[in-house]
Amino acid sequence: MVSIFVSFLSFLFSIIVFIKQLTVGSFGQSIPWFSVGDIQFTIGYEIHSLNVLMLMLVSFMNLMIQLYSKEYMKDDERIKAYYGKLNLFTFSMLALVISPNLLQIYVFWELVGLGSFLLIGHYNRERAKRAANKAFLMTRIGDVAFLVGLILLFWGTGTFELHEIFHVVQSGNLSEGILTTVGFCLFIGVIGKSAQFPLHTWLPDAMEGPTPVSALLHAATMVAAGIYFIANIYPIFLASSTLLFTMALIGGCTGFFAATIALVEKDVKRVLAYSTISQLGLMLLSLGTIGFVGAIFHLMTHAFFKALLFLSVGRLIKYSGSQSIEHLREIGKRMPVIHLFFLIGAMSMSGIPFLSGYFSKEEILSAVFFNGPPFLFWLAVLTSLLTAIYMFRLYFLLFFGGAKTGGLSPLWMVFPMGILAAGSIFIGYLNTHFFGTFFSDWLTKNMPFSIEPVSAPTSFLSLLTILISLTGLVISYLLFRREWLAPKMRSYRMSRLYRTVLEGYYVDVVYDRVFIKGTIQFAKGIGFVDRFVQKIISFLPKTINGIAKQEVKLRWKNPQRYGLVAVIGLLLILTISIWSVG
Amino acid sequence: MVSLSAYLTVALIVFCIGLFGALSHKNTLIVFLSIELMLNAVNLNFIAFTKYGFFPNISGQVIALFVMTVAALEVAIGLAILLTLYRNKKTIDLDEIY
Amino acid sequence: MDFSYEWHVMTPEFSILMTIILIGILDVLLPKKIDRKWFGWLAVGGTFLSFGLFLTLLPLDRTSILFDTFIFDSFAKGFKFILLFGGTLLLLLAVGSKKEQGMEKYEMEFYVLLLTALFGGMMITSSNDLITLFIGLELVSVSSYVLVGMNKWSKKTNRAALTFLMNGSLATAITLFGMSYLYGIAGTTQLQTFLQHFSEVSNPATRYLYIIGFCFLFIGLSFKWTTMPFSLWAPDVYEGAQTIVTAFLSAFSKIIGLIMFFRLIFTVFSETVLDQHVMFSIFQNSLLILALLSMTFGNMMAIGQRNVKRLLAYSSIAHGGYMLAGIASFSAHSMEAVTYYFLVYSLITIGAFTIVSYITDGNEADEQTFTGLFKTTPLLAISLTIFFISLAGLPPTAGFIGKWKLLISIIDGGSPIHYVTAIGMIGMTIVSYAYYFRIMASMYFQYPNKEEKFSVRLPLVILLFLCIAVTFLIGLLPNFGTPTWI
Repeated sequence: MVSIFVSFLSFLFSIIVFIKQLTVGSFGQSIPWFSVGDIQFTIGYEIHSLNVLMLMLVSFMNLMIQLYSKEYMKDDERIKAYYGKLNLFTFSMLALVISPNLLQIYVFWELVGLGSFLLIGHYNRERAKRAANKAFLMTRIGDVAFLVGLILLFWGTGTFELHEIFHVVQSGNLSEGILTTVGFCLFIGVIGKSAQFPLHTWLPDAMEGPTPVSALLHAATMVAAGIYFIANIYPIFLASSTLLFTMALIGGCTGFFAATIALVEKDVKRVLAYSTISQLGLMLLSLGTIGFVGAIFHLMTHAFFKALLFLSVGRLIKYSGSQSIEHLREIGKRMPVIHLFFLIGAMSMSGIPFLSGYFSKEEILSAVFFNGPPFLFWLAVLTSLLTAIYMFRLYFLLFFGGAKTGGLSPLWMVFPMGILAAGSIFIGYLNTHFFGTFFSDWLTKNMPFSIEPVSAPTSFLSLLTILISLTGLVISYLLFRREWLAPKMRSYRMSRLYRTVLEGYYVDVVYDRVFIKGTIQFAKGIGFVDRFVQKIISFLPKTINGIAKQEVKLRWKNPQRYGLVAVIGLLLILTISIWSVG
Repeated sequence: MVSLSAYLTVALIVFCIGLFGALSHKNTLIVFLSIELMLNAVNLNFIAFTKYGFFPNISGQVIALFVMTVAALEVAIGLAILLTLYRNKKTIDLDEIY
Repeated sequence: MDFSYEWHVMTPEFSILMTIILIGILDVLLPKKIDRKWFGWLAVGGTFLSFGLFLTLLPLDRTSILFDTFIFDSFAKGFKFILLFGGTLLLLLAVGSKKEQGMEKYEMEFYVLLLTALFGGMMITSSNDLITLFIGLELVSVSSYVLVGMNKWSKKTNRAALTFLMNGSLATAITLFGMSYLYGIAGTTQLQTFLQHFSEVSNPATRYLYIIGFCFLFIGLSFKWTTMPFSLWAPDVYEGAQTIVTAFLSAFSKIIGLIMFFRLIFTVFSETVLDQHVMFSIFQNSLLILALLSMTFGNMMAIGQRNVKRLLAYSSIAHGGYMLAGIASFSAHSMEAVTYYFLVYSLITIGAFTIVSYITDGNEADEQTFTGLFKTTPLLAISLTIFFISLAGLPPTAGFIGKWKLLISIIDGGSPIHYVTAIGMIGMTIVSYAYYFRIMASMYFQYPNKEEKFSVRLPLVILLFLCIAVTFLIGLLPNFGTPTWI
């Protein structure tokens, strides 16, 4: 309870900060932290629109999740530790978003990783432990590059302060080569954190953690940190077109390929995980095509509906104790409230018109359409289509059929979900082209750097977005709702001799053969490529492990060998030294 | 008069013999002896330098005295440890103590 | 001859010496019946006294006595502080932890040897002469030989002691051989005069003598601070010795070796110019490569290791590599970075070993013992986590700032090899997460094999509290860690 109260306070303070920011504009302060020789490192805070937005988002999501966890985790014997970890996690993320310099960002970046490590491994399971380790080490691979990028940037600009870095970057004193290298290194760090191809596999595995944690992880903290980070140092990326293109390409491809995997995945939470990867890919794509507002806007709406989806699924999982779609099938129908919530989340995510997801997706698509290469635009369209299909696949599979016995959900769970659901519907109206673009105006006005506005989406794009989502819905309905009922329907129709309808069924079969099987094959193919890349990535750890196994050979040998090695080393450095002096 | 380099060469040879013995002999006592040999080579160096070095002075001989003392100390402790090992394992062969 | 030296600058050393003598005499005079447990507190009291005296000396400027063989400068101040602090912690650890079977009889010897090593280390930080450096080093080595072999009933300990002694005396011989050449060129034992004499020699052959001398000296000393190539003995010896002694070797003896090398680089090697050759630049690359090798070797081998003491031994090899890289890069910020890192490292290693000695209680330190520790004794688990995080170099602990400072000072060197070293250091840090986090994962996420609580003893709680408090204090406010007197 204390923890929830504190979360509430934190959210309250965030709002106060927000109001202050609205009235006085950006503010911040830094004090010296420590120095190495004559180099000063500072610590401080900075508030501008993006920061304050993240601040509110994170503290709000944290509050919701903590409320929800009270019920969800009530049987857990380590609930105190759980809340402790949750608070550590949120604290790091909050501190990350208000950091005014890169060193501080790095510090909390690592802490966020540590928090996720502790939370993912919360359950006492071998797989959870491994997933926690994997999540931590995977993101760490990205962090090597991240740190190298930081240091390169430091030696290029001589400072970690974001203001000064932007200054140097905009004055054009840094060669594009260095900037691209720096940006690329930082971007690899983001790839690790935001689970983009090829460092994405930790995120589906991280589903071993408690469901509320997954919700928090996906909505506002861990993976969002990557997107936030790029947005926060956007000028560095803006300065190099290569970098932007790489970002768009990786984002677009990850988005598409994660969506195909989500289509065939059998574990509910893993479907959602892949969908997060896919949505994050879209955000990166948007950032890569100068769609700054679109990406941040989508980050916000995504936080709402993804948290909502996770929490509703969490309710089902809590009820049945399983995460597999097969096991959850019967249960969905019994909970009308959850049913409603999931539907709202799924609709919002698919981009059904006039829900939040629709507006943000439209924004992204327009950014890609106006500034990106055509093939990426069509990739994004395809991704959106797939998103609608797999979301409704999940919906149809989980919430249709089975007995209609009403099961009540506890208030502690329903309340936060209700708020999230409201958010999923209405938050999008902050930035629409027919009511006004309050959000984008506010966001772009107060940033420490200027952002080019993206042209408003044309009616073609709006129509396309609507079309995509509805098509997805229909396809999904045909495939999963009808197909699932197929055996029953067949016997029913055979007896009644509904031959004509049977023809319709053949269409389904053809659909099934051509479309679904094709997609599955395709997804499998991509899965294969994915595994291959993973093999290459895991080559390094494997090698290290292989070397580590040699340690056995070093145990308790004749002590003279140690001396021998030393003498050989001595001779070597002697030779090298004498040789180099000539 | 014998030149400095001759002394240094002899010391180097003695040192290498000692090093070889210390790394190859399996009898711990002989290993200790070899290490003594290395230390003596060092002493020879120091003393040669005090007389024929670029800046002849006496402090090298002082070091030699200290080295001798320390060598004795190390052997004393070495023998003590060897004794306890022998009591437990009944061997002083380096290949067999593990 | 004038004997009116400013003896007061040696009072910290004297007070330690007096404690040693006092304990020795008391042990002889007291009847056998009387329990000697309180000798430990006596030793702690002695170091406290010495620490207090040291603090009163801080305002002094550079002072030297005994014909410039003993100096008290900023270098000595910084490292003496670390040594005294670490020494106090070690003694607290020794007082608080349970002795292995049969070791109760040897209280006197144990503390006398620990104090002797401390004394030797303090002499090294202040000495400005080859002879005193050598004697100080031998004081530390010889007492650690005996400390390692103290438990004479255990075969493992016997073997460890023999390994340690054999390699140690080999290292001594090699070091001395190097020293003899350096002495031969300079014709003096006084470090300050070294440089002056070096510049006067014009014989081209001296270059080779100098190179041989340096390499021998370096390899011999690298035994002490366990970096490649003279580091393979460490896991065996660490495993075989009592945990307290392991802590001593890993935190204390190692740092003393590095301090000695740093002193030599600081005063002599970095500025030696022979025949227009800046000699240090010849070795710098080799040293950095060796540092890199140690990091790689230590971290990789640690991954494959299940015995926590051996694991920490490999980790200590890796840390030796980090520190050596900091020293060898010898840039403008080295001094500050290295001092800070030493302080942090000695603190967290002692802390980590405290907990290891606590938990294993004289048994095999297998990783299994740590499973589910968070469940049985959360205090120990959280403390160990803090130490591990700090060793791994994650924020917000002091370990992070320490590594950061080292990195900055290495990169400050500015040549490609520096950059490679820095990047290697980052990469290896990540590799090291793998094993620290493996242990942490089994501590937190698994249930214990047996429900057994570890009782908490007062001196250890004080010790842990000190370690953690300082780790966080200088981690969050790092300017405390680099006091103005340095």
